[in-house]
Amino acid sequence: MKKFLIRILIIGFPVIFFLIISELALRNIPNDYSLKREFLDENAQNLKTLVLGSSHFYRGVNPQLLEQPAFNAAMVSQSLDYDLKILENYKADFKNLEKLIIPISYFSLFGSLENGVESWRAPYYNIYYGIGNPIKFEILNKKGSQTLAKVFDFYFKDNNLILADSLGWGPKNVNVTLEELQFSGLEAAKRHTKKKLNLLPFQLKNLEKIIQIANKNKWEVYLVTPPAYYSYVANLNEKQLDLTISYCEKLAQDFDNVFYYNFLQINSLEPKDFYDADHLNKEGANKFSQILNFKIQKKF
Amino acid sequence: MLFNSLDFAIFLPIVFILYWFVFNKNLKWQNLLVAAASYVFYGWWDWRFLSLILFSTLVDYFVGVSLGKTEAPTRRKVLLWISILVNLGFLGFFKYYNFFLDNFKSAFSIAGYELNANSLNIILPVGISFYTFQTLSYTIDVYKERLEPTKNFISFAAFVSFFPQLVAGPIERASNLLPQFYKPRKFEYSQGVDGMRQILWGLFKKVVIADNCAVYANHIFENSADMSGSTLALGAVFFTFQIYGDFSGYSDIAIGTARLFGFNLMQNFASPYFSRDIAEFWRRWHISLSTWFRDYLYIPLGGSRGGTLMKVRNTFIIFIVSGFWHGANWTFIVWGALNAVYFLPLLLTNKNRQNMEVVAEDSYLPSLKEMGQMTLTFGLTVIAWVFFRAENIGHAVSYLGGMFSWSFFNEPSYSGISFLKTLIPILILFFTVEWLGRRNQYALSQGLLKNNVLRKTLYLTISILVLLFYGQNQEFIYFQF
Repeated sequence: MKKFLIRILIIGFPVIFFLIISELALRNIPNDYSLKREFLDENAQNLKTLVLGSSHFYRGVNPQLLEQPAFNAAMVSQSLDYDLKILENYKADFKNLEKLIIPISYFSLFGSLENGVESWRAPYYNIYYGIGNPIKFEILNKKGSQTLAKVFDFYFKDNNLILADSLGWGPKNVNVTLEELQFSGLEAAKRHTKKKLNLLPFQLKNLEKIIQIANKNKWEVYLVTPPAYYSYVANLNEKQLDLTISYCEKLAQDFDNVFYYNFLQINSLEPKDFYDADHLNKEGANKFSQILNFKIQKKF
Repeated sequence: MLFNSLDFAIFLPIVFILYWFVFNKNLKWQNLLVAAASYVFYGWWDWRFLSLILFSTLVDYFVGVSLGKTEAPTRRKVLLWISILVNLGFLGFFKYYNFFLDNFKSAFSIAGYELNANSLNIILPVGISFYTFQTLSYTIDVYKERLEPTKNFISFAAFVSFFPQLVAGPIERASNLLPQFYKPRKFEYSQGVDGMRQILWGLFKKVVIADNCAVYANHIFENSADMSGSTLALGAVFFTFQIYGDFSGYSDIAIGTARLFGFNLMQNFASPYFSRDIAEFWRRWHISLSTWFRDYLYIPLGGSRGGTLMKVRNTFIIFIVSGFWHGANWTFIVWGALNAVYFLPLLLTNKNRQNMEVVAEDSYLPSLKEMGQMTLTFGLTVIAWVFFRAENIGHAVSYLGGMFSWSFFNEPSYSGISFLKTLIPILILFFTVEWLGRRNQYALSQGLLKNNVLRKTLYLTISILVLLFYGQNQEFIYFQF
């Protein structure tokens, strides 16, 4: 037994040492999550406008064009349950908050971060925001080869992993062809159309909790269906889309502080404003942010 | 708890230390620890299902004890049926209720009647098919007087819930595993090292082979309508590797883990993709299930005694039941039936037992004839796996239709094709080790390479590959069964 244990330790020790070093090295790399947490920790009490939600708003809303001070706390695949967790975590700090802007995309009421293809992002909320699932390790979140590449890129090639600007907006300065928009529209619509709608009660409950928090704190809630290119819109499932819109309209009717704007098919945006069929590029995001701000200010 | 998770990496050393250093002097306490650890292991998924295992354990324990006390045939039969009904009742309810209901509704609907019953939102308890069959084997063996009933409840509970093989096999026979709980276990260095080696090989198969192949198999199967025939063929081959790496990897980890605790479990895979015909494949694939069906279904049905019709009937029954055991979906039934069709010519020409020894037993390489036979068997298996993987029969048929179209001769193309450059050398390494170790209990076992430097280089390479591809724990496919 002694010989066996010594052997296990000889083999196991370097492996465990390597894993611990990798974990520490990974956690030390600044990323969009750590940037957003740092900003909110320091500035939450000053904010008047807060943007939450998924990549549709992470890419698509420039907070500089909204009522100031504003911050974009949206992230790729951030679902309503995670929006709620962020709000609950910072609600006491949002002393001056007036406006909460949340995208209700075609998939928002029917999907969640933890059940989607980007579920590997869920532990980041625990590691970098201190919210979400109990303590997780980043090394277990991706393949070892990807971890090594990330560590190598940051420490040896000096590659910055932060994609968002200082106000949390992650614009993409890319233009694509019409053909690419056609293809990505079909693909994204297929990906976002859920076979089962069983998460609807869960996400509706989360949305209602967000509204209750907003009510209590006298914040206005703006539910916004983001713009998309027609190749995406044309391939959506009618039932899923109708449910999304009707629930948002009902919430806007039921609560005085809730407003719903549907920008899914907006004429003022052109193909050159998209980097794929359901995401705006930098130029498109600036246009859309102005339109959104105008609507919010006028409240019509 | 997944074998390839951090939870298990913490759980295993704790149980190991308690087992060998704290409870090593008392067999009863050691067995109690195994039972308790197994319940923790299982409860990690969903503690509510622990009651199912406990109930099943209690029923079979008392049925066993009662069978030991009575000689009366009618009473013995009643006791046997109690066990069968309880175990298969649970399995039927949790696994097959909705399937039968939906099919009855469809059948009634075709006949013009609307059946007013709703499907239930049932969660399938992990590994229910495995432990149900294990406990059933105990009761049947006791009933047939092939096994003495146990009066030691702790040993029996540990046998039913033994965590290394609880959720995905090998499905152990009571006659093999239960007596091991009666005897004191002594730690042996060679057994410990062998266990660790088998765990390493199992992890390699799961993390490096199965999980990488899964990414591409899933992508191709989910988008099969847009893929060329050659890409679909590649997807089916990816799934063929995935399911072998996944399932045999789990078995290797299970057997290796059991060895760390001084237990010997049965071999579950014996290089099945090197089989020369489908009969040999089924002697080498999921051995614990195939032999279960052979002993508890095929032989009681008459086996290969009787006339040709009887043999054909029995063959179809076990293959179809075996398919249905995997899941409540017509795809599994067709998969089973297709294998029966493959098997039939061998059975009818009495050639089903012609390849009993491992291929190229006395040589390094197979003959041309053996190569041809292995390729044909592999090809047939790949086709059958399409049914196993497909969402439904329509999907499988359209997948195979697309696969056997003229575009089969086009160059495969899909977004992940560039990754093949990385995957192919790994698959070559995998197949080389599997081929060289085809005579062993598992490919990497001791004696694979005599040269010390080569052997250690191989272990190091495999360990590095496991570390490089580790992360994003993927569930084992067979958990759903």
